[in-house]
Order: sequence, then C-alpha cells, then structure tokens
Amino acid sequence: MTLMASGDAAAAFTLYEEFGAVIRRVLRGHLADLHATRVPDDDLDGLTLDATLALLDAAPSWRADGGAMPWTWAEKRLRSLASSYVGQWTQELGDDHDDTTPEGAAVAVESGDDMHSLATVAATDPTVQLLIEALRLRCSARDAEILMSVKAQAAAGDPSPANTVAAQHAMLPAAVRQVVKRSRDAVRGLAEHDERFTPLRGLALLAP
Amino acid sequence: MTGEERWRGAIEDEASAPSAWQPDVERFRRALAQRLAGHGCAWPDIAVDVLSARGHSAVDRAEFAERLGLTDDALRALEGAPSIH
Repeated sequence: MTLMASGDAAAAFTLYEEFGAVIRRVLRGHLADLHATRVPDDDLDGLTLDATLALLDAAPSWRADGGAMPWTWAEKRLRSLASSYVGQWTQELGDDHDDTTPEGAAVAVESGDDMHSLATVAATDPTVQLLIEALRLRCSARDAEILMSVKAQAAAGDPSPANTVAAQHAMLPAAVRQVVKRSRDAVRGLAEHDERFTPLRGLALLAP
Repeated sequence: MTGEERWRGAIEDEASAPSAWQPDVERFRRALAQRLAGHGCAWPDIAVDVLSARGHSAVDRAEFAERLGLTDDALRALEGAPSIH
C-alpha cells in the first residue's frame, strides 16, 4: 500500500493480482447499475486492467492520514470507467452532434440522453447492438442521431417529432423527414440483403 | 449503496467465496508494457520484468536498487520511467 500510495508502478502487480477480483466485482456492480448486465468476460477483464492502472494513477491522492478514503476515490474512478464503457457507442454516434437546445423546444427529449439510453440497452441487447452497427455502416453519425431523435420524440408522445428535431438541428422539418426516410431505408436494405442483419427485419423503429 | 458499502461487500464476497476469476498476468504485463512504451520507455518488456520483481518483493526503489547493487538512478532508468504517470 505504501508503494501504491506513492504511485509507484511496481505496485501495479500487487494491486492487480491481489485486488483484481474485488475491482472486477465492483466494476460489475457499476455496470449493473447502468443496466449492462451481460458484459462479455473479456471486456470485463480488459476493464479490470484499465481500472487497475487508473487506480494507480489516482493513488497519490489517497492518503491514509486524512486524504480521500480508498473506496471514495476508487469508486469515482471505477464508476467513470464503467460509464465510459457503456457510453462508448454514444461517442461514436455523436461525434458531430450539436446538443444546443433552442428556445421553445422544452418538450424535446435530450438527444444525449436518447443515445445514452440506447448505449445502455445496447450493452445487454444484441438486436440493439446490431442496429447500432447497421447505422454506423449505412448512415452518417448525424443522420443516425436524427433518426433516433425523431423516433425517441415520437415514442415520448410528441405529435410532431420532425418539427421538434428540426428545431434542434436548425433544419427544415421536411429535411428531417428526408433524413429519417433515407436512414431507415438504408438500414432496412441492409437487413433485407445481409443475412447477419436479418434480426432487424420487422423492427418497429424501422417501420414507415 | 454507498461506495464504501460496495467495496466492503466486494471484499467480503471475495474473502468468503472461492473466486473463479484468475488474474491474467500476461495480459496485464502487456498492458503495462504498452503503457510504458507510450510514455517513451525504450525497453518496456524489461521494465515490466523489473517492476514485477520489485512489486512482488514489495520494496521501494531505493532498497531494491541496493539489493541489486545498482544506483537508484540506474534502477529508475531500467524501469523505464520514474512512474507510469
């Protein structure tokens, strides 16, 4: 612990070999909090490695003589890692996402939240993983986001989802509808012609 | 559940149940070597060997250097970096 508290890299081995299982359990708990309950073992192992190194990075901020308690700083680091793991899809789909919300769009569902929820579900649902992959293959990140935003608005009861999303993206509603149709058709086409994407056929989200 | 409760629970679980999980030390060594290389270490594999030996001995650099008959600076250089930060 003395080596670790000084940020000495040599402590990494002890930390990993002796506390790796505990770190892994805590990570699994954070992932479960994010509804990611089916994380592949290999990914969890990788996260445990990353977490060990991240904890070592943070170790100098832990002081037994009155600094943050180990579980306090470790908790934050590990929760952040779990969130990053679950949210990686969000970043990939949202790189050019403009999240400014115009005045008068108070009913709009926040796009970031839409994508975060989708990413959370994606970690547990293979169909959603497939959908995200299809969107990445056939649509730009912006088009994918617009499609998902419109669908999220519609699901939230917005009677004019295209209008709401158009206001968010400084677009005309007709242009938003075109993007939705184009993206939807592209993914449906993939589902029709590529056997791997067959599970997407008949998905309500892709219905006209 | 607070962070403290979560950690205490995980530690107690670990202590009371045989764990099926075993550390993948080779993978960890590769990850650490990669990280050291990213920080400019020219001999990351050797550095990992030395760090591993010292880590398992649980001694600080000065004492380990003395055991090896090296200067602190020489051992620091052998380990590739003063720390992995």
